[in-house]
Amino acid sequence: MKSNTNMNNTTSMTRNDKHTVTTRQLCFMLAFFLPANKIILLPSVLTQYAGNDLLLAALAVFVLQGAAIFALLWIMSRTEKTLFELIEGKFGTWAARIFYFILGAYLLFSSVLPVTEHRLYTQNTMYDTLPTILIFIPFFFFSGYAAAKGLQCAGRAADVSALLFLVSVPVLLFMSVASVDFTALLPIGSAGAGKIFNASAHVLSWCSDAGWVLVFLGNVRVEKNFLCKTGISYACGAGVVLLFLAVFYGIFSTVAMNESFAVVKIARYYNALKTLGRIDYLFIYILSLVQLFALTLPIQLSAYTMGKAFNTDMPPLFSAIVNGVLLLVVLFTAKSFPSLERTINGYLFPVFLVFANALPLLCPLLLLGEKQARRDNNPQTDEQKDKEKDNDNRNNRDRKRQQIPAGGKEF
Amino acid sequence: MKKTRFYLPRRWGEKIILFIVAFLFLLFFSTDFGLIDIQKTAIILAAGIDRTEDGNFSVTAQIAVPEASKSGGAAQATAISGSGETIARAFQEINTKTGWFPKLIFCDLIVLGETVTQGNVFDCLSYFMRNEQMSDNCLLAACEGSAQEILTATTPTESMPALALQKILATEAKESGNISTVNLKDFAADYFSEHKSGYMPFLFLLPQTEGAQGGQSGEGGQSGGGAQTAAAAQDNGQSGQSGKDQKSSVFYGACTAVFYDGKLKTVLTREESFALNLVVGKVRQATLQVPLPDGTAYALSLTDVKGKINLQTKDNLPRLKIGLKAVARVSDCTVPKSLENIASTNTVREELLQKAEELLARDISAVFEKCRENQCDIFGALDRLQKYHTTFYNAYKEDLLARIVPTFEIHVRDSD
Repeated sequence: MKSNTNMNNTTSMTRNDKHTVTTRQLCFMLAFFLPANKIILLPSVLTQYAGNDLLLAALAVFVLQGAAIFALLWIMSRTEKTLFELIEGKFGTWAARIFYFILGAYLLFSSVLPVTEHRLYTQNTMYDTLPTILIFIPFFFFSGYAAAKGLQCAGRAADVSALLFLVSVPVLLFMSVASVDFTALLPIGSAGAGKIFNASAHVLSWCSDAGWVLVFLGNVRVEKNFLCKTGISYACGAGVVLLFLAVFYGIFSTVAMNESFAVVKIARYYNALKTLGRIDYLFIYILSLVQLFALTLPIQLSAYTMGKAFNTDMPPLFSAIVNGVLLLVVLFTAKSFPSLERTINGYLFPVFLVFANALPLLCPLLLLGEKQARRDNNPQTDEQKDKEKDNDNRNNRDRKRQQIPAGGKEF
Repeated sequence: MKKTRFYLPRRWGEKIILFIVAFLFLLFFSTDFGLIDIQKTAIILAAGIDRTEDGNFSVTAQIAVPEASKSGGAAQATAISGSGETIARAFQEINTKTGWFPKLIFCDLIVLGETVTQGNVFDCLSYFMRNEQMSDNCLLAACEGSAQEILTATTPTESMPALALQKILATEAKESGNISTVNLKDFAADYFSEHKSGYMPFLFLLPQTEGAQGGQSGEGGQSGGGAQTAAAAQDNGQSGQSGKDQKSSVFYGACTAVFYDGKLKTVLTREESFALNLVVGKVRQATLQVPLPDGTAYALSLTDVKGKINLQTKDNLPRLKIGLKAVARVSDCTVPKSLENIASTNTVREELLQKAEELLARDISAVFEKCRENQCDIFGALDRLQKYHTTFYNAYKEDLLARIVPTFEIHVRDSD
């Protein structure tokens, strides 16, 4: 037990600020990264399976994801340990390293579909004739650079994305509202439970955000009202997607399943575009920057977890490996996106069910016995700690009072 | 456990970035980004579709030619035709004949000829729906005769018929209630919905008289310099540049073609189309002609037009209530009036309002009955049944139109 504790302390000390994001940055990730890549192909795929009940299908997935993410956020609020440390504490270092390797592989796998989807999206909507695959290669330079920079880089990207998202998405939704007929969503539940759950299963790969939140365990500076702030951020992110889906189906109704790249299509019926031209593309380009950051996140985390698994500090090397593998996958699946999408969403969706749903929901079990272990290591009781804290506060207050002149303000 | 550290020398990083930038520039300037030279691109502004005698599609593409003009005159346009079993094949033929790569991104109008509307129009429209490069916001219109005639006509209003047609079918025209403007997305959404019924403007070509032509040319100045539209767009793909020897025509699109299951079923008259637009369109300001028994006629300007369609299933009987509310003011009269009368345009005589309501009720009723005869559920009764009266859906869906008891509630009031 003692040796175990020593090891824990050593690992905590080696973790540095490079791998830490703030509560604000995590909130931004949940609110702005989460919806960014769910508004490209997801709406039409949902419509394909659930028809006008796409909102119910999405809601089911978001509730499941919400529970998984909340479980992880709860762990973050209870302990500063990373997932690696928690597993290491329970099952030993090798188990933690193997698990991190598998998690890294999963994160790499989870980014295959979004990256290939984004390639297709870029080629089809940002070029008026079908360009070569080469135009998407620069993405891997960007992703490679970001993945080599550690988790803090993801946090900064979230800060930048917040502004970009708030500038672009509301404008696109505003441009679309005039053409929306929300009655197209009626009658609610007409697709039937079977079709709705089938649709939910088919979009699990898009809604697997708990998978990346796992890696942030112990890597977030927990602040006051942490659970409340992050919970609201997740609700906002999911809410934006649901609103977008409602607007999307309200515009396209029966032909919605044919409208693949939803985000570039919803605003094009705005009357002013006839005079001004496609100014909506300006906001689509701004949003694509957020999508780029969101797309890079699992890749960054994959490189990070791989680095942890091999216990080395060589981010550029792992970034190169992860991005190289992804590049090869993109090159080889360049002409077979539909079959790739069918395979991942139709047959491999249990992978997402395990890593992004079951695993996060089971993670709180890792905290069992943590309190006892803490007590064993530190005989000071919680009551004593509280008393000490109160004393500290009182002392601080007294010290301040002495500094401030009586009846006046401090200048 | 000792960790291995790996640092990239700073100068190496700079070199790598420079190399990447150089590589991207190389790709860009060698057009390896896949851009197509604009001189080899055919910017299609409108497409007309007909069926040939052997059942193939004949596509007439109104193409803007992106060539620099020394005189700085109007943009050049030409019309090229190609035919094939599918629309894609027809476009391919245009490409083969001219070397121009057809680009549909600016295609804002599709005109369907009579031969096409006799069958299911989605035989050809599905091509445009599949095309990711093309916007499904493009306007749709059916026409009398062939679409090729429409797109090769010489018009005094614009240098290219496609532009003239786009003006006629513009959203502004829809908002005045004169044209039943519809885009590909809305028409397709109706076709794939429960009721399978839709509508689009029906175009006629009205030849201009010689006198009218001269007058317009003199005044406008646009038609004189702009007559560069292709004269002949024969099936063999020839194109021309001068339309001087052609008779000028204008387009008339106030009638409406009504479709069921993709096939043209009936054509609504101008009055019926106007009534339909008031109920289902988003009309902002319309003008209604109201003749009175004493021989005088008034023009009423209708604003705040709100159409409402409501399906009820009371007593197991489907009742379709079609309502219309509008605010009227006098816009014109056939007889001279006193200055006081002219000044008080917001006050409309009760008799006039009543007559306007009667007229609108008559026309809306005529639209409904005409559509019912042709099984066209243009007011979307079946969709309403499915959305709001799901329990009755299975019982009524087969013969809903026959069962419906329509009621028309028209309220026209003055703004005083």
